[in-house]
Amino acid sequence: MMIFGIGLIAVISLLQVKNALRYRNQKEAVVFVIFAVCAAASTAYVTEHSAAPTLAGMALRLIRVR
Amino acid sequence: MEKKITLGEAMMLYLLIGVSPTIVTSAGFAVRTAERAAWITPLVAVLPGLVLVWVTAWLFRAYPTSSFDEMLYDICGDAVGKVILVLYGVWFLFLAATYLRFYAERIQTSLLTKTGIDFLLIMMLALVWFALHKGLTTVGNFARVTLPVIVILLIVLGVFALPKMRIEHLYPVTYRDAVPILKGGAASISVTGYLSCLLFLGNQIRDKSQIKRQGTRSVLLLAGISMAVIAVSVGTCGVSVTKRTPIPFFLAVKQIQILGILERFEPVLIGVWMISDFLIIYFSVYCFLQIVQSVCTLQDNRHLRWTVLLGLFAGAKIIAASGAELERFVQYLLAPVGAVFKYALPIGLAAVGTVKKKRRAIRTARR
Repeated sequence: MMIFGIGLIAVISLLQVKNALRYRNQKEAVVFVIFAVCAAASTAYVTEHSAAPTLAGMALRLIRVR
Repeated sequence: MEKKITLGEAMMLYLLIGVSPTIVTSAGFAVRTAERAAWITPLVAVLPGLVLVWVTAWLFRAYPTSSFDEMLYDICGDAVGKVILVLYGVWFLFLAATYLRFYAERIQTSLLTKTGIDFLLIMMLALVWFALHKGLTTVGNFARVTLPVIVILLIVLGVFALPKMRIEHLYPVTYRDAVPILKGGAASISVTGYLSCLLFLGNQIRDKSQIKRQGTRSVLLLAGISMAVIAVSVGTCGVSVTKRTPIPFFLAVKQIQILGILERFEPVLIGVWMISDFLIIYFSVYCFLQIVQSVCTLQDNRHLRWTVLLGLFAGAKIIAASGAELERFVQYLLAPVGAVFKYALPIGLAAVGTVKKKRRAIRTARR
């Protein structure tokens, strides 16, 4: 699963860099890559840790709602 | 020339977006708070809705060709405007993830019990990607075709449910119910607030001069639909059963039986939900992409679509462990925070904009 996650990040990042370079704009390339890495990393994390604490759970605990 | 949607289509989009939260959240919340007077609670949302219509109309009149980000930059300045936009973006992302998970949970518990949640999420995300690819005009046309069908379907379901309804479940309503009615109206107010999200479509809408008339009509129609949905739910199932049911209207529709032959109309309702959920998710993703494009000064957001949808897939899975946790999250966090984005910020923006405009006028007059 970890290999799948890293592979996903690499493939998406490469595709996004290719897309961004089409515009010849480095700033856009950076934005695209940041989004790609975030999206792929979160997907990989979710597939790897299915029992991880949820966002809603953490937020509700923060405002002390049970 | 860039294709735009008409104001009517934008309003239909708004009404369709309101259908799913009305059926799922408003009815249950209203009954738990106002009991047999719950069917009056949508009327509480009419006044805030009209205020939003006026605010939207003012902003559209003051900035006829601008998008929402341009309005924000002009009124609040670049730095504050960007901070507000980023906050809106985070809220839209959470909204999309929440509704995506709601959709998957609902389908899994009601129709496709043996289907994995991943498959359902991917199906919806593929549909949203396709809609984003086709553009806003296609979605506007879709809303124009779908809304009349959905309204007719809801009317038909309401008429079929009439024989099962009991007037004693809805009546009497006395002056003692006034406070619970006001409290129970919170969910309807939240749903009506989606009107302010149309500001994000600002420069994509034609004939904005009609906003007051069409907006008022839409707010009243949404209140009417909400009243009908809650009245059918409470009238059919009774207060105590409705209180304990997660989606009372679903239970009411399940009980419909015509001449002892025709029954099981709930797939119709599930179809209506799915369309409404799809439009909420599409709209949230669309607004999020517009925000990213504006904040990061991108030429285009086409290449971000599938990365955002991939992130949303993970977001929908990580947002909550169960439907109950998701409901608590919406009730205690997403809805109150949403009130700020739906009401407080647009109203504040219009107020600051008015003051700034008057100052500018005074300065010009002095010169």
